[in-house]
Amino acid sequence: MPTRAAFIDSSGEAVFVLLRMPTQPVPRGCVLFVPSFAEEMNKCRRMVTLASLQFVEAGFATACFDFRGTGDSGGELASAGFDAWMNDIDAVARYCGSLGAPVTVMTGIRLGATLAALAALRCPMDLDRLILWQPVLDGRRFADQFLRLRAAVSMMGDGGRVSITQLRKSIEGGEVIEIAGYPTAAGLLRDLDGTVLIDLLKQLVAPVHWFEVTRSDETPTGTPAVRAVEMLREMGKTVEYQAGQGESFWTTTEITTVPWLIDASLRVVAQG
Amino acid sequence: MDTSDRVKRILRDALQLGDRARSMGPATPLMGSIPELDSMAVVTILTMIEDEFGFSIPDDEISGETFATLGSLTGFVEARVGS
Repeated sequence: MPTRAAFIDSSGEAVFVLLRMPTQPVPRGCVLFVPSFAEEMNKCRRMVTLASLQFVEAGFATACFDFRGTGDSGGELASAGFDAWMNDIDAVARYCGSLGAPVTVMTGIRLGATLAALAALRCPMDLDRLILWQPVLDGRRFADQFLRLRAAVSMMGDGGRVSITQLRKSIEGGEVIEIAGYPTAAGLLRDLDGTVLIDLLKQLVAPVHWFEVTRSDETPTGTPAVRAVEMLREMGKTVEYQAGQGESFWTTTEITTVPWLIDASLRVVAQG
Repeated sequence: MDTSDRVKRILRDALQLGDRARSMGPATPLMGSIPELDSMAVVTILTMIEDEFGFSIPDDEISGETFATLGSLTGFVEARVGS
């Protein structure tokens, strides 16, 4: 079955898209995967590919892409920001539509989940539902965790410590600083800081399916995610939440997979 | 599951220890004793603690002592989670 790899134009940048079509003439739907950030993207790649193949087997088209400044796409990460990345999602969605596979579901992984929620609000897509894999709830905390990659190297050593606060000050002051090899600039930092997932989800109409991978077989209680889901439900939002045991595949040193998550996501996608 | 169990599971997850985590107790040394526990792993563990327990860890609250033993790390978390 044709798998198309293409570079499409997104407001002047070349964005890499991989579109997999099912064998049937008309796909049952199209699932757009919105990738995670930096090293997480590399570690999630196998899960996304496995899910993609399983969905195609079930009759769905799937689209995977790299945001500008990441992966195989053009552009510089230091020039990227959420507005530009929304353009990228929009361009990818239009590309899918032009090939007979309009996007019906977005599956966002980690920061990609947060970005998918933003895209669901900003980009014209006729979405049946939004699937979130271990979403990032708070952009500022996520940014601090990312900056810590650089701060931590000094943390455990004998030399001078560079703190997250100092890194922020430098970046906000206009410096582009490499964090674990990723050139990080003020625009992206600002966008991350201003992003709170629950504020996006509370504006959404499409049903949300929130998945978490946990370290025990007990259903989590009182965690930030569980509390966010409860808050959204109190607001009248349709949020399904499912947690299951597995390794934190977006961050483990050795690439790991969580098969139940793919199976459960396919069940959601197949709801139509 | 108490805090100590949750912290142990975080270590098991972050360091992919598998069954090695089973025998860990409060006195089990971490930093310097577990080869996988490098600065990258420290970052992963701090992130997991933040995301699981829902609080932010400022830079100046971490030192080598925090990761001395499972007990010291658990104590660090317990002090911030609130009673």
